[in-house]
Amino acid sequence: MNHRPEQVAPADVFYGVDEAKKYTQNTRMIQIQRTITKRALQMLAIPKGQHRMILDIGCGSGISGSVLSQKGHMWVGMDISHAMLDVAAERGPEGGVEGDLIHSDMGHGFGYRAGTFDGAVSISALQWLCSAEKKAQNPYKRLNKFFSSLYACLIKGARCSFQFYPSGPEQVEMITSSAMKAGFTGGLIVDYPNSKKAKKYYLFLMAGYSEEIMQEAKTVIMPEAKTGSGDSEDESSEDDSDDEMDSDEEKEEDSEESEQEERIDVKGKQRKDFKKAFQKKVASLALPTKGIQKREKFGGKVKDRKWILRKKDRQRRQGKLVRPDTKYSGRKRPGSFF
Amino acid sequence: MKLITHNILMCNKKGCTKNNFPLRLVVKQYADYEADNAQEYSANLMTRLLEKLDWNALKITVATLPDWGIALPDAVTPELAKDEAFLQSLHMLLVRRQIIDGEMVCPNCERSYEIKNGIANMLLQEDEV
Repeated sequence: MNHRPEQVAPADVFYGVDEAKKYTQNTRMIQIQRTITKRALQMLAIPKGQHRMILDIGCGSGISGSVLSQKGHMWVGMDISHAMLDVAAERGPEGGVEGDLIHSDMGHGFGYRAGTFDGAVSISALQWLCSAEKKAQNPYKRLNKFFSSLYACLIKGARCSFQFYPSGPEQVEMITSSAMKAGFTGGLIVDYPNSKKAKKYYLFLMAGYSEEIMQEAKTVIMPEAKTGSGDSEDESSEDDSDDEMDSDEEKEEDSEESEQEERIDVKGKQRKDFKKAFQKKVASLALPTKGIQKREKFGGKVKDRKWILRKKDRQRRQGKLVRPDTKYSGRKRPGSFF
Repeated sequence: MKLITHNILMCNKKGCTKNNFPLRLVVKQYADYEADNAQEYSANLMTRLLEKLDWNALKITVATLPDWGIALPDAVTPELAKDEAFLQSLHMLLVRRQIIDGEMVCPNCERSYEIKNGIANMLLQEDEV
């Protein structure tokens, strides 16, 4: 049974009239989308009272867009599903869809003038880029095209936040490497990593560096991932939450570390035991222990006269310039006082 | 579709990189939204949009739409950019006016992009990518 929509059918087919209807009637779905959009917008770190031009990739029926409009931003949304766009157009400005809608494929790149957008958001769309629906489509090429043309239409230092559902670590790697190739910096943010249901992946990207934007977003330079279960999250708390770090993740790391230390301990103990056994055996054999003691001190490598002469001989045979052997070669040195 | 969006759109067809802006706009039907329905006016937003606007392209486009009866100044001076009345009129033109039906034609390759039901169809065929 296949649960991932991108493996069922292409986006423009999957999000047909029936699926589009869900996005207008299912309040739970709308609620989730709104919450995600708010979180994504939070990552863009636009100061209060500032209104910007934002690109919404995979805008669908305009749920994410209505959140953007609410905050006073102007937005342009693009989607490949005409049915979804029709729903958005039907809702119109009365229904909160005040931005502009463009029917286009993100894998084709987009023809916007350079430096038009102050930021970009995308809700549950990026994973569609990773699957090829037609023979002519190459996911890697599509990803590269997408990120490079995105980079081109953003202002310098613009921030992007893309929530998506990766099918596995390879897909994350595929997407992030493509983004880095296009010149973006940033990384993956995982909200609620310990909850199966609330876990959300965000790709947070910055297009270059701008002093001005950095100053603006001083408080949120690299957004932290949210932890906890995420079940009790409601809209009001989402709004003004400056997320506090739950210690769950840290704890996990701690336990891992101590485990590693334990492993090292075991090794050390084994070595000590072995050393003891060796000394016992030497004592039982009643051998002269001086050389062995010395050998122990130097970690098994004692460079006595015999060894030095052998080495000099070998080097002489190699044609190297070697001092002649004398009675002083490899002579005993005075030991230390302690 | 709004004029502000038209002002940032270029032809995205493969190989069409020069002289592909602004797209020639043909309007068959348009509508003006009520102020409280459209994206709210804010001086802050309008100044931001004004920075991004290609004024020349906007002027050329508006000149091809004589029935709109809108006259734009030659250039935007810093004083004008602070003028409330000017920003209000710009908000009307860029944000509240919607092109419902029409098309955009690339001045270079003559590729036509349809606007239907207010949605611009910029989708390319596989051989155009």
